[in-house]
Amino acid sequence: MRAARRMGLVPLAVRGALRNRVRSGLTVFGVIIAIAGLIVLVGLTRGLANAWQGSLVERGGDLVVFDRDAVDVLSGAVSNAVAEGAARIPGVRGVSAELVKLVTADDSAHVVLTGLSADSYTWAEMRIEAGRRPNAGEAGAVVLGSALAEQLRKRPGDTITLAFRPFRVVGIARFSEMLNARTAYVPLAEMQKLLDRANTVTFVHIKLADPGDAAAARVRGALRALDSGIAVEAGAAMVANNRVIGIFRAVSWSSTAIAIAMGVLVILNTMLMAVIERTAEIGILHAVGWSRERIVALFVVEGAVLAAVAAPVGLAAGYLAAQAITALPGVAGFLEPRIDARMLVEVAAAAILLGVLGSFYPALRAARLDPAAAMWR
Amino acid sequence: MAPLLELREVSKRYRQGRIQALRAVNLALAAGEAVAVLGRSGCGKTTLINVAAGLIRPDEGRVFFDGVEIRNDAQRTALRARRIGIVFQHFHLIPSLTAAENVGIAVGDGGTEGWRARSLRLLGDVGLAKRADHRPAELSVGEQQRVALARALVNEPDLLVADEPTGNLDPETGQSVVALLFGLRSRRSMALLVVTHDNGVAARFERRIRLADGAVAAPPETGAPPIRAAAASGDEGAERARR
Repeated sequence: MRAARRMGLVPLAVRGALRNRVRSGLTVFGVIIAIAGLIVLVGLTRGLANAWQGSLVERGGDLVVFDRDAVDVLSGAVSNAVAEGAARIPGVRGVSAELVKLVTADDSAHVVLTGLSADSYTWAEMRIEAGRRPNAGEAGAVVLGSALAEQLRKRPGDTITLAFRPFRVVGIARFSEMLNARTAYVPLAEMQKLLDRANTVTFVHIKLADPGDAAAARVRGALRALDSGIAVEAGAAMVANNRVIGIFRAVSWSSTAIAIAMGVLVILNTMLMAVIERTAEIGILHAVGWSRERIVALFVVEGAVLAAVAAPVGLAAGYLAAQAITALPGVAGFLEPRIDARMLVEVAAAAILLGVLGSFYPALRAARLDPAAAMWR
Repeated sequence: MAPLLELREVSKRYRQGRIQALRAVNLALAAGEAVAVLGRSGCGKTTLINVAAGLIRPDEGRVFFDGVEIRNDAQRTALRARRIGIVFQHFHLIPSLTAAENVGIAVGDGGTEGWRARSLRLLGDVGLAKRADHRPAELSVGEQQRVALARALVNEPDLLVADEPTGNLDPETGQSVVALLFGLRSRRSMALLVVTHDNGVAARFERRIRLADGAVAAPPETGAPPIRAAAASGDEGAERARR
């Protein structure tokens, strides 16, 4: 019988990759760097958006009012009058006017310091696990989020320096979302005095009696009528449309695109060298009847094998690097990378695709070689 | 009945036409026939073999295999994959692969027998069953040529084309390879088209063609079977085979 089952391409491709171990190793290393960079950048950007969004969800706001013209919402200013007016709008169940700033704590760590209005629903809803909430008009009192208190080893009765001013810890509040748990909460009046920003806040969070679309639209209209300089968004939309997050996302994706392009070029260069080095062997494959398609497939599989070897190492390296970055002083507590199984699978698939793309042109060159001439090179 | 392989008025030039390797060569090879190609170095033997094996395209003329004109690379590739086996003077084995793998890369697709089983069977036929997992560098030149022979035969071709298969071997080893070649041919009823410089080897063939300056040069050698290859002027044997 003439026919038999022919050799699989993967063992041949692996054998090909092992022909020049140093070059293949360096190629795999280059792809590992590209994959790790992708994981770190995308994971951290997603983590940033996720932390903010999770914070808003946990605190239960339906709408957020913020300064329409501020590129960085934390530097925006919304008048106190908007918060007071919002409370009177029919359909509004609760209001939390907040002034937010990133400050130093005890001259070392960075924390989010949030001033909450006296009638803020956040005061009422936060779960105090030790101590108490600040009393009305109490000066110099702060409630620490549980993770922050743990990090700084503070308990009720201790003193903490925030923005170079001493505060007395009166309570510890438990939050499950990282950003909330790493925040220090003070009365709004205290915060406005500290920042010299009387009568303005950063956000006004709104809770609706009926979060349905029609009711929300009515409340939005009423809020916009209070001040033409404000924007009103659902919490998720505000994070998604936030310009700072958008800039992070753009930088992250640009860097990722560069990393991917570098990965493709590394594989392309390696496979092109392999084709040049193995021209005689390719001639032999042609001579024994390999079709052009099969020769293309062999080199594409070889490129994909290199990427597939790099993928798990790159994913692990990226994950560990992201964890290491978020453990750095100054970053710890603000940012946790969001790297889930789906992202890992997608990046692994992208890596294999990268291998295929990078090896396609060299593979075509191999397939186009003239067999008789190639064997003698 | 159509010849197995037929070349009609085949010409081939190199270096923008400055070197004429083949000049209007006619050749017909019947199924199962053994033909030796003789001639001085540079007379066009290798080019003739390469055209016959489908490794290069002729500039002019037509090539037929089993009555079908071979016009494109896909046809040439399919012939090399299924119906033509090739043996080279320098073996052209892949150094990183074992003997079994070097044979296995030529195994065509389909059927139930695995490539390794098929390779081992062929290596057994050439007496190298125990060397299946050795790489070319671990084999003698005679063994390497036998691996190349096993590779050429692995798809049970109708035509085996060989370019000086004994050219790199000492006379004794060369004779053993030729004996092996004819022994395998007798079991497989395949045609042979073999380039050789060795008159002793050529004497074992049913026909001998002498090439000179790219053209087939008659007459047949004394005492040899009649040469049926056709020169540009036409050839009785070729005409008979064509009919």
